[in-house]
Amino acid sequence: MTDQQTVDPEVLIALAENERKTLIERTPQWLLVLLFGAAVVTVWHMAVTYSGISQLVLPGPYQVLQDLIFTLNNLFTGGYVAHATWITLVEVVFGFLLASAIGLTLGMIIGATTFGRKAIMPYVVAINTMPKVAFAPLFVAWFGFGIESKIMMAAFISFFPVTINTAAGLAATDSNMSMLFKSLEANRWQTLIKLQMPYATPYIFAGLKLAAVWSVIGVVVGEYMGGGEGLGELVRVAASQLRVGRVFAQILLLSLMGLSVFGFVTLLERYFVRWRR
Amino acid sequence: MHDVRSDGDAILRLDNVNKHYRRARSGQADIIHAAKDVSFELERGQMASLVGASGCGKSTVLKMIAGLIPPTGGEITLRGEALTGPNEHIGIMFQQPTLLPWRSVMENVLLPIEIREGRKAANAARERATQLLEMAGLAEFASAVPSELSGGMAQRAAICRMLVTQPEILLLDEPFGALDEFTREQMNVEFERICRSREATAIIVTHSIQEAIFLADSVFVMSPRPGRIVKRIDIDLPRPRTPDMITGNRFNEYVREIHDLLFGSGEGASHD
Ligand SMILES: Nc1ncnc2c1ncn2[C@@H]1O[C@H](COP(=O)(O)OP(=O)(O)OP(=O)(O)O)[C@@H](O)[C@H]1O
Ligand SMILES: [Mg+2]
Repeated sequence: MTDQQTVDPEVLIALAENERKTLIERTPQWLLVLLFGAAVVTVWHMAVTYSGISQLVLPGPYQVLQDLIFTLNNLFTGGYVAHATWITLVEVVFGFLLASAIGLTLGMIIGATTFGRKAIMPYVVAINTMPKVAFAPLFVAWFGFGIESKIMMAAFISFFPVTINTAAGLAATDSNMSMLFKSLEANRWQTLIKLQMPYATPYIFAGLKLAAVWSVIGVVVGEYMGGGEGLGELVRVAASQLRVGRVFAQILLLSLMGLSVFGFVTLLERYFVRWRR
Repeated sequence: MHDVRSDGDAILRLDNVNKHYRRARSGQADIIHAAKDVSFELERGQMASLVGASGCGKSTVLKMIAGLIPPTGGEITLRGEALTGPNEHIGIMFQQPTLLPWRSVMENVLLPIEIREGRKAANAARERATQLLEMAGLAEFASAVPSELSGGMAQRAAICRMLVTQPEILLLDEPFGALDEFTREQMNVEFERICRSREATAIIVTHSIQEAIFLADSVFVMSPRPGRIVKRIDIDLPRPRTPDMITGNRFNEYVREIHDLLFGSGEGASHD
């Protein structure tokens, strides 16, 4: 919308002047990303070619590309990589969902009740300070070599950010809004559902995004420890055979997986927190 | 209606009400006396304004009447019965609009009904809410979200939210503070009309002496902290009030009287 139909050309000149940007600011982001990536690959290629490092230890970009093509080809033709990706994806998704459920419940108990905040919170914090990865062998012992142990490990590693963010979000409720609800004689449940939870959604989603990334880590740790048929196991085997290119390609798949879950949570966030712009 | 204990038709009565706050964090003896021996009573349909310096305890008095914070002394009675907490007969509008940012203006206005009577009742009250929004000049913003409103528009929406449940007693904390002079005058006229048509009892906290006089049957002037009511000034102007009264002589005498009470008559400021 314009305020007037005819705009004074001098205004346009002045506007353009105000909006003048540097070369970097004007360049589209994708181009910058590509340029920087190309630079890194060039340096990598030079380093591998001229430093005399064995290709077994650090393969050059071309070797990695070949491994990547092989891996992707295998993935899309339904080979063993596809199977492993599917297994790991299932573990990640269930691990993430479990972490979200535990995190939301615990976070609500901690954030909405004084008892939770005083009595339960310290335990949650204590658990978080432990190196949780160290529990992996126990999870294998408890839940076996199947996907269950990986799901549990993923949930265990990633429930914490959801818990803390939910609790913090509930506690952050604007005190004036709490007064409003009090004046309307809202009961505790109404206050939680109609005020505190909506108020906490930006916090909760920040926690869920962390959990999305951490559940991939949890699953991989679980697979390193407990074997199975997932991508983590493929990585472990490829590394033991010193096929570094393969390892890179498979790790790339893992990060794409993390990125997908992350992206999905971001989409949900856009929908639920659209009032926040 | 009539009660043995209450004298006359007083619907609301404050009897030596006090409020002390403990200031968080600092030493244990650090107690603020925010309201001191506040006593007054209002009859049904009466409108009162509360004026006083910033920080003298006006919001505190309103919150106590709304049952949101307990007094540390004295008693508040509603139709002769001691007030123990919030109740449906009293509606309060806070100094900040406190609209829920994830709800549209309409959903915000309907919130009190939704909480008290459920979603169905809230939907049924849409028409009433629309009328209120029209009155406040917000009809076309019913589906807007609060972040799209200006400060004054948000305040007007908050007034609609308070009015939608038709409480008998209205408590307003600087309701028109963010409005320009012109809109403010319109809202004053409109607000008076609503209160009269509902026979609502109202207490309005305001920083504007003119507004205090324009709206009220009685103006309560508070002293700086600890806030006491230093004087009750009954405003003897005909109702409904009209904007041209503001320039009248009687009106200006009231302005001078309240001004002198607030700022002191002899000291420095006003030489005639
Ligand atoms: N929750 C609280 N805890 C401690 N002190 C408080 C609290 N609320 C208010 N006070 C203090 O009580 C005094 C009165 O506050 P109040 O908000 O009632 O003032 P007010 O008259 O409404 O001021 P204003 O016109 O600026 O809104 C102030 O000195 C304030 O610091
Ligand atoms: Mg105040």
